[in-house]
Amino acid sequence: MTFSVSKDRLGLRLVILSLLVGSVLSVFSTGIQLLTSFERQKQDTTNSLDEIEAALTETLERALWTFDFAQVDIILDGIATNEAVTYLQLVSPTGHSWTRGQTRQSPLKREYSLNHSDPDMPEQLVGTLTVELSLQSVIDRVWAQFWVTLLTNLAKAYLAALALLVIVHRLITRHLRAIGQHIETSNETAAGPHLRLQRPARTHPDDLDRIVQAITRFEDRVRDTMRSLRSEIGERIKSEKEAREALSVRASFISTMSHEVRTPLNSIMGFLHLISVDAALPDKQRRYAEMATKAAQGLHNQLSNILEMSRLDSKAVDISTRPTDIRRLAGQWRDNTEAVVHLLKKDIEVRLDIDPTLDAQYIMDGARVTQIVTNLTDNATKFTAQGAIRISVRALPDDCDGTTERKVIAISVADTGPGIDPAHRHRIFDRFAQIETGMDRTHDGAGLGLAICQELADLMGATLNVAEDEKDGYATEFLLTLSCNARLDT
Amino acid sequence: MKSFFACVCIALCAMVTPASAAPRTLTVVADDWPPFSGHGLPDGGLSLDVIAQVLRRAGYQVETSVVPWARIMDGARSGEFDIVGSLFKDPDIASYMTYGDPFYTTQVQLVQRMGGSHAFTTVEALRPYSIAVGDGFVYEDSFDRADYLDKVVVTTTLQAVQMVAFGRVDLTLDSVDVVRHAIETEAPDLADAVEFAPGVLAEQGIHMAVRSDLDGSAEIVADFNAALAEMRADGTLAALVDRHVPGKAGG
Repeated sequence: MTFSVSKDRLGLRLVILSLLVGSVLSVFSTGIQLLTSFERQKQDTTNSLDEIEAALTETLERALWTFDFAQVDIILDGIATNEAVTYLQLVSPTGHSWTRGQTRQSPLKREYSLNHSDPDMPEQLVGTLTVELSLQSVIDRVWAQFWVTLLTNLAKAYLAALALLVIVHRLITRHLRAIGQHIETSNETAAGPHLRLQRPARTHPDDLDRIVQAITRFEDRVRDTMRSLRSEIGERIKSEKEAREALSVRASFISTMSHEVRTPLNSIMGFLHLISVDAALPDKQRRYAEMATKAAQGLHNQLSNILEMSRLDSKAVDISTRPTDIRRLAGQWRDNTEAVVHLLKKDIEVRLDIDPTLDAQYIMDGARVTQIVTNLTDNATKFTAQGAIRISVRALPDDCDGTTERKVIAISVADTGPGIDPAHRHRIFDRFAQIETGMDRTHDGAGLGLAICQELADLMGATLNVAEDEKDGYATEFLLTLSCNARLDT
Repeated sequence: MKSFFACVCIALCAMVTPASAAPRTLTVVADDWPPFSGHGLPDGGLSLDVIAQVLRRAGYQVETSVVPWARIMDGARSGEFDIVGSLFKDPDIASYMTYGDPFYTTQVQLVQRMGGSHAFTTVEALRPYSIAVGDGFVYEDSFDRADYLDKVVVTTTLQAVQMVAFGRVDLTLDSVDVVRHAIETEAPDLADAVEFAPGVLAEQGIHMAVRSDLDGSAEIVADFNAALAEMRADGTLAALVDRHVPGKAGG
């Protein structure tokens, strides 16, 4: 036994409860026994009055009749030896009287009329005997019996409880503790020894045997599951490593290819531009050169987007914040947009709304914000045949957490183009998403611009949404909500 | 003649008995029967006093005691006691004990309630009446044998007298000396409640008897009788009787 019975808390609780119940039952049963005993002894005491009458009154009557006072004394002394008798009084009509004890006016009292009967003469009273009884001796005996019985019953209850403690410990709690220790020390991965209880094998398994069997089966299942999980984790780690390597190879390939393509493309674009502006060439050739320049520009943009997406996938894009003059930046956005509009020769008015409450500077990555806004204005220019494009910058209520001052600014780009079908709006930020499909597409592009904007916004902790259509006459509005880390007032 | 014979015997005994021999000690017992014998009576009562004095005069040492009647009868047969006093003459007792001469005479009379009309004529005439008698008492031979009488057995004379006084029996009987002594010493209020009925049932001598199987029993009886005669003659007996039963010295 590796632990003592005294540390068997479960067994002790069982014993204490058993003792409490046993003690209560002992007191109750003792009370019942003694009540019965008291009633019986009380009846016996009362019966002694009848016994006195049956056994002694005739003798006493004869002694009185014959004036055998010595015999009267003997009889009265004999009656007085009964411990229940507290008082005796015998009065004879001849003027003689005898008393024994002191009267207590007990309710248990009986008077006997002692009459002499003789066939030759009328019945004659020879004395009156008064006997008083007390139950005090009975009560004293019952109390003594009560304590003896109670102590005996309690002793039996304590001995039984002690035996119960040992039995419960031997049969149950030591095995429960062994089960607990086994579970506590078992290893879900290593195949340790199965649980075995230190007790003889049984022909018919009991609850402990079933618990042991259940634990053993559970351990086997856990170990099988763990082996399966470890195998799966290993495979996944291997797959992830291979995926990372493949991604790296792909990014490297794309980067290399983009660079290798863009360098000659830039040369082509440069020469095409020279051709298109060469006044010595006929108009037809210059127009062809301009068309070639546009195609090359589109190819250049697609390559730039693919390269950017590749950098984002390989986590190569960093956000670098610095104090930035948002008003000057917004002016550049407007100028760039007007340049594109002019280049495309579209009848589009470009507007810029600046919130007068804007601070002079914000801590932000101006280049990445400009990249997003430029993508949005390029989209707006692309899908707007004529009308207007509005760029607005406004300050939103402070987002202060009490420790750091944060400024939130909203940058929106709205246009009067055809708008976006609500059925397609949920996927416009997906990679390679094209709302127009098929051979009748009117606009080119790989569908990477808005996806890049979304991922850049995520990197900066900003949100990018499509606003409601037909607002203030603008069909589409992209809203960039940017939370700046700090504000620098100048 | 008897006195002379006794004197001769005593003289012969004195001659043959060595002067240095210690006197023989006799144990004399009697039952509680006042005034003849009983606890608390002077020198054990009339009977024990007289017997002791007579035997001492006869040259014996005497030890007296009062014991219950049943034990006396048993002890006399078994040899525990030598001499029994306070006896009426009784044939049964005479079969194993040797009586000495009576040293007192008492009358046995009926006792009735005061004003009663009884009078003793014959034992047969007592048939209609209930009579209290002492357990084992000897009154008179014909009365003792009269089984046809309604005898109510009691333990003491006083009980019998009280039963008469309270009308529980018609009569009792006993030695007038015993009855008087009982009333005077134990129940004086009965003196006005009972009386002796006319007529004497018997006149009984008070005897002592020596156990017949005792060595020298006849000699002891003879010595007793001789010494008694001397004491009667010299008035010593009368003085003793008067001490115990005043006014009856002539009995």
